[in-house]
Amino acid sequence: MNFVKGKRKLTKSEKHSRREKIVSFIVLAIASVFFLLPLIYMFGNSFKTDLDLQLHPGSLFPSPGEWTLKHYEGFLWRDGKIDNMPIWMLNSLWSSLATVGITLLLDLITAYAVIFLKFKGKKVFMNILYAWMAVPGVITLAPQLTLFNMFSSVIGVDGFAGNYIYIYLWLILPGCTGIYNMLLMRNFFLSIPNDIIDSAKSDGAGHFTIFRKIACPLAKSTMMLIVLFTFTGAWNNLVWPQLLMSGKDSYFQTVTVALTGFTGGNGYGAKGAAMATGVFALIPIFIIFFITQNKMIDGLASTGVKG
Amino acid sequence: MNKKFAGILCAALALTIPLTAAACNGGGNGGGEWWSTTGELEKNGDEIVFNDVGLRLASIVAGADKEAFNQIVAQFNAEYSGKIRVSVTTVGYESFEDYVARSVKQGDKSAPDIVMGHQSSVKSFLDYKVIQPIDVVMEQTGFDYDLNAFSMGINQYANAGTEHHFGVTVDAASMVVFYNKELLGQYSQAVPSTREELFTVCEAYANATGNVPIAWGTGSDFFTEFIMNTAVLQNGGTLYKDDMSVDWYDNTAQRDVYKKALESVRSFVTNTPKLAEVGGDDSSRLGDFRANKAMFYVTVPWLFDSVCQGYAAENGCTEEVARTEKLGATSIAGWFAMDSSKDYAKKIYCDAHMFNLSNKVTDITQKAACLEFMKWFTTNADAGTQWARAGHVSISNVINTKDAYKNDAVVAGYINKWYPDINDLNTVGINPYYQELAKNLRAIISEGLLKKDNSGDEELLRTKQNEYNSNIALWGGDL
Amino acid sequence: MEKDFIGIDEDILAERKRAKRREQGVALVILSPFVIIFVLFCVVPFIMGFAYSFMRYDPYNSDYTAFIGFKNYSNLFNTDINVSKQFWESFGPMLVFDLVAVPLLMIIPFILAYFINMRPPCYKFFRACIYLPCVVSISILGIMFGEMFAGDETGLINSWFGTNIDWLGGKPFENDILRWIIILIATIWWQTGANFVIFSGALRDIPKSLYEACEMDGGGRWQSVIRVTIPNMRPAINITLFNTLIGFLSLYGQPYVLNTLENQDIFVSPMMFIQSYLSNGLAYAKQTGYLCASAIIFGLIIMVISFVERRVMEERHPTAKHVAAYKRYCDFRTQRLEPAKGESK
Repeated sequence: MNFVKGKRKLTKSEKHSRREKIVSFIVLAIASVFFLLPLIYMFGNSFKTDLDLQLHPGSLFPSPGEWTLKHYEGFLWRDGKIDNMPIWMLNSLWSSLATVGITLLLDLITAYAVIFLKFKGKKVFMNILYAWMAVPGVITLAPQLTLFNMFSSVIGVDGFAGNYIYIYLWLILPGCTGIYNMLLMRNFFLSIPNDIIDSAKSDGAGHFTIFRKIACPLAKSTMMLIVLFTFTGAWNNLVWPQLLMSGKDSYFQTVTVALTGFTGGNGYGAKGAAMATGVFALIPIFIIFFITQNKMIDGLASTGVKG
Repeated sequence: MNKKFAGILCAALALTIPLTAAACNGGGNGGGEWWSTTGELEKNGDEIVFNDVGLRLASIVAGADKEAFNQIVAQFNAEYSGKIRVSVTTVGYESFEDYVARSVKQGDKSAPDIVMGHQSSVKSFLDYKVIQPIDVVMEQTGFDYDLNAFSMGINQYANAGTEHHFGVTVDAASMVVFYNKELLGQYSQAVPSTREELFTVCEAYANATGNVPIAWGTGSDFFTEFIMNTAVLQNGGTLYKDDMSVDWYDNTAQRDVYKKALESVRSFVTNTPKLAEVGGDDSSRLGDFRANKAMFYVTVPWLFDSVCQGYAAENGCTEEVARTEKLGATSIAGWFAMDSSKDYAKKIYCDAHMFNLSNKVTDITQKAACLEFMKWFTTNADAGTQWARAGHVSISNVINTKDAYKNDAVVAGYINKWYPDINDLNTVGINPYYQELAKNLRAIISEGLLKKDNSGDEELLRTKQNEYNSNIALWGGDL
Repeated sequence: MEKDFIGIDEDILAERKRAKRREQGVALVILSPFVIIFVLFCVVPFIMGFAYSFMRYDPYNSDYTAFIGFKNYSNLFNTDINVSKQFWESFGPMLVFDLVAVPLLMIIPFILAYFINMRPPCYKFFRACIYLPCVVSISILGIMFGEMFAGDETGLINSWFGTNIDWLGGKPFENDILRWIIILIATIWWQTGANFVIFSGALRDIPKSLYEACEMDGGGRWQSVIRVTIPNMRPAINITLFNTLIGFLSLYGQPYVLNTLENQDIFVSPMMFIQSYLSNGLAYAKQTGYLCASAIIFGLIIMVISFVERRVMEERHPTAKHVAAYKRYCDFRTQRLEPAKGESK
């Protein structure tokens, strides 16, 4: 290794680790190019003019001097009212966050009750949940849709706001019953030594205090894991929202559902606009991602994954 | 433990059974009349008095033409201010039928009074009794409205095979053709009107320049559906039998027609010199037309503005100049007819919108108000013009004969050239399995175009025919 | 339990009983939100779906509803009916795809996590890049990959190589191998991050001492992966494998967004079949019971596959025990820093 000449001679393991780092750097750099390329392509092409798209489909970025914001025009404000685009994004964002929040809360309290409280029928309860894990969601699709429609007429859902709340209730709540996450949480609580809880109890702490002061702070990494699973799941959910939202006011849609109009055999119309729509829809989620990713991934210690 | 488990199961079952039963609400009323009428009509002389009647309209129009539709409705509301007010709900194509059927059957407050859907839905709506006849309403109210003043090729299905009249067909749309005036002028004095003339001009152009004369995107849903069905009609075929099944292969006469239809489209591609390409969609082919390489551009009518704008931008002229001087319009009538002397050679397959009166409406005044709106939409020249500009030619003879409509620049220059005779327009009719039909016809043309010759055509027709027949047997609930 | 309290004051006993009852009440209150949502959105629809599958059921027409026994199921298993044939044929492409994709989505994230764990310069950046696609929604993936692999000259890849390949065309088991490769690439691009994050967390938590012990035993890099890394990541691997497998059996989004006109109506996974008929106009409403039956059969197949997967993973438990023993032994030795005689290989 020529480049270390003249310096302190490296030990065998240091050399080894340096070589390791170089190899891994190269591999990861190549992988990162693969993971970034489609995004860069979409970003660059969204600024191309229609003509440029036609003439230079092979370039990642617009030809010099040909940059245009044309495809982005009207995304926020169109014809005197808010365009659909920001609404879709807000819909996706708040519904995903709500799913994450409710899931976390439900999982925490349910797992807490299962582990730290004694009650009749606990075993039956757990057995049912274990058995239910094997039941795939697809079976319930059609009846859920029937129930969705039935309740809407029973309650008499009407008007824009009523419909909106009703749809999102049906979008968010079924997503919060993931048994898998609950069991993750339960397994984690199981690993908390009983002594801690007992000593807290003998100090006179109630369940609420134990839950708030001991269980939740300890469960942070498992919570991170559940946040990760649930958020990406909710954000990318296509099957159920597609059924719920088809035929409803286009203001109601989530980004994932709304943008399917630009893909595949449906892909009818302008390429530039499709790209710009994609880029625009990614902006908020990327901002959130870049703020939180470091903490989130770092917080994901393997203690969260105790199968 | 097992007892408890069983107990819980029982409880869940007990909870579910009423729900399951309740989910089957809103049944049919058996045979006979399923509609009912309430209220008294208030008349002032011959005129019906409307006192701020609120109507809900469910519209399937969700594309670029949605704005135009809403504007026309706004204009109606302005004209009938204080009398009738129509509010529009747009429902996506996939679930339009479900939405209408469910909301009307359940008696939702938000259920539509007027339904503007595709004509193919009328049979399903009728089977589920979610619409009611309008001729009955006309009788009851003495409303004056000529239901026969339409292109009968399309409006013949408005009775859905019964003695009653269940809807008013408003418009039609199909594939349309733009041409480059300058290029065509170099090779021909007139716009070609038959297949032979078209081939002569295109071949001359292709031989002289090496360019592909016709720009079309065979990879789009619209192209495959409109063109395949048009080709069948222009060669004298029918799309399906009266019992909704098909005999594309089993009936030798039909088989010949379908083979001819396939060949008539394929020959554009297999001809030497090549007259058109396979694959791509409208937007990817538009470039050739804008760059003055292709002589003809086949596309859907609602892209009118973007075609003109795009051409103007690329050739450095105003949109007005592009529309009036550079570009012209012609129709696909006769393009696929192997024998142009036949009277069916000029037929064009269209997609049509239809107004239906929802079964939710019981009040007589409200029913009359719905009719008033339908009548206004199909007789007001201004509404017809605006709607035509959005890509939907009016099939109402009342509008078609009005000067304000005929003399409009776009209608005269484009719409009427695209659809030279509205009586030649045809639709899929009242087949409730329209989606299955369209799917299989699309598959025939898109697979047929990939082959170089007609050797596999019969097998293709046989497979698709059997698939369609087998599918509708299941969906019809007979099995 | 109560036996312990024999001889204790009655009052205390009663007090304990009351406390127990109170706890029962608290538990009920705490559990009720989960139970209510669970029953309403999972259990009830499930039982309804089960009931419908034995019924002729039309949501819009109650007169039509009737109990018809196994008719729906016999229709489903009758492949003379084209729709049933479509259903069964849709399993083929999905299963073949899963057979390739699931292992790849375990191996690739593992390799990347392994390299990240070496902590090269800017590893945090790389980590972010790999995880980033996970938050891109499937429809945007469809836009990107659809345009990159567009079938004519306007596609990025075609124009790079000057080709005119119809990447996304073709039919299952005939000529659509390219389409599946693209779907595979897109899937790897999209889903690697999720497993990668879990793996890298698990990798980080393996004590360094174990590797050192393995190295001292003369084990090379490869041996350390087999003997230390993988056994210690078993919980993480179990979770990700199960999730990935179940997720891919319900394949829907990728083929839904990556297609051409030629194959957009061909069902390549049972999920597509069910989804496309479930809400597609009144013409399909009469056979809602049939669709429920198909969902139940599909669900059963998923259950069987996931059961087999768990069984297979469980059987290795003895090995896991062995690993634990090995780990204890390693810990012991690294503390003592003296090689055990006769035991090392």
